[in-house]
Amino acid sequence: MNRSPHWPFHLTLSAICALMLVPFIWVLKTSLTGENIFTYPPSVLPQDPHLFYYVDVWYTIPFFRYLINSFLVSIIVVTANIIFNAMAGYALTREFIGKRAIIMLFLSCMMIPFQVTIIPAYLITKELGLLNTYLGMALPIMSTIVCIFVFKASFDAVPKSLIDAARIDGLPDWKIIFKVMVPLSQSAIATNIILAFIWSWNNFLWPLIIIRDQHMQTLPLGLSRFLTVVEDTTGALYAFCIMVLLPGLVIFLLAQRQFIAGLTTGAAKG
Amino acid sequence: MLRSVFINRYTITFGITITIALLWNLFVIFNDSGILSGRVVDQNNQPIGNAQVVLSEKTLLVTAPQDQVITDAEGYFRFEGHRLYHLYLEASKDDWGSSSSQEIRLYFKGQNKTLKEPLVLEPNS
Repeated sequence: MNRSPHWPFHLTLSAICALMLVPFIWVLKTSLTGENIFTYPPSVLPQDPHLFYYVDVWYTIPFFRYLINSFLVSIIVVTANIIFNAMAGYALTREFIGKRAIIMLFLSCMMIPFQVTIIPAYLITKELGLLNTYLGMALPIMSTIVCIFVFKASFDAVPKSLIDAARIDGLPDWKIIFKVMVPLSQSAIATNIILAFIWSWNNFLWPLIIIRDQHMQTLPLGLSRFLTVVEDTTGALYAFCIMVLLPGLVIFLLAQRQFIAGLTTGAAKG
Repeated sequence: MLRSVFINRYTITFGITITIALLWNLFVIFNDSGILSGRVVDQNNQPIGNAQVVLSEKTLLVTAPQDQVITDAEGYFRFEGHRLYHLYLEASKDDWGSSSSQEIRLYFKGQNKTLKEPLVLEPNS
């Protein structure tokens, strides 16, 4: 059997990967050197690297406070997404009148940008008394349609007989969700965690609108404030970007296997 | 079972992160007395006694002096208790001259540091 060698394919992929990584390496290098991006000739390796721009970021703004705020909001968002999306996903696996209409409604709602719904969202948050709170910041993304469908796809792959057996044993629906379905859907959970975390972590517009207290700000708001405080922003700005990126990157790398499995669950279902 | 709970990539990653943070904070606790010492010399590397060394902080608009000390007979100076992380040192002596402003960057506020290179006084022109 004539098998073609793999190395040209791998070499091409490696070259493409290296190309994709160039912007990240550039950001990392600039954060260590403060080198202007228009420096000519450009160098691949950093010249005289140091970590002082990271120190500038840490002390110029209350970085730790913003970090804690971002983490608290992300924890609320991730927890709520797992609970609510699992329940919604389970509901969509059941048969009921108007199921198709609800799915169509969900799919069509995905096409509406958040900016369109921002005024009603603000008014609802205000009526609930959640302006300037962590819960208020988390509210609009406590359940997301994409993640509901991720759970639905994962639950669809669970044999119906298992649900029937649980029902015969007398388990109510909420126990079937959290004791039977969710433990069997680790990839869907990982996908929910990653997506919800990244959406929450990078959220700028919504916190900008509902947060008035400086100490309640999250990292993306801190970044905009940082730009107004620091005179020479090149190195420190890139250092800030790395510090904001790092937690999301670590979480993605840790759970990437489950994340990819979660996105492809049900893809081959015929 | 217990092994898989405690030894996995999540616990190892977060465990290492927390350990590094704890060790760093311990290092900071024992090295943040704000001691900054160094030496003032002339162009022939001879110590300059009785020179004034000014420690300044650069803000967005101005360079604001925060502290000043006088060198001893051997040209040594020592600041204590500063709470800065980005500062400037400048030495001068009335009948002699002054040094250029030297930028000092520290990894945390009040980090103890001994300057490797002395401040070099240049004669008044």
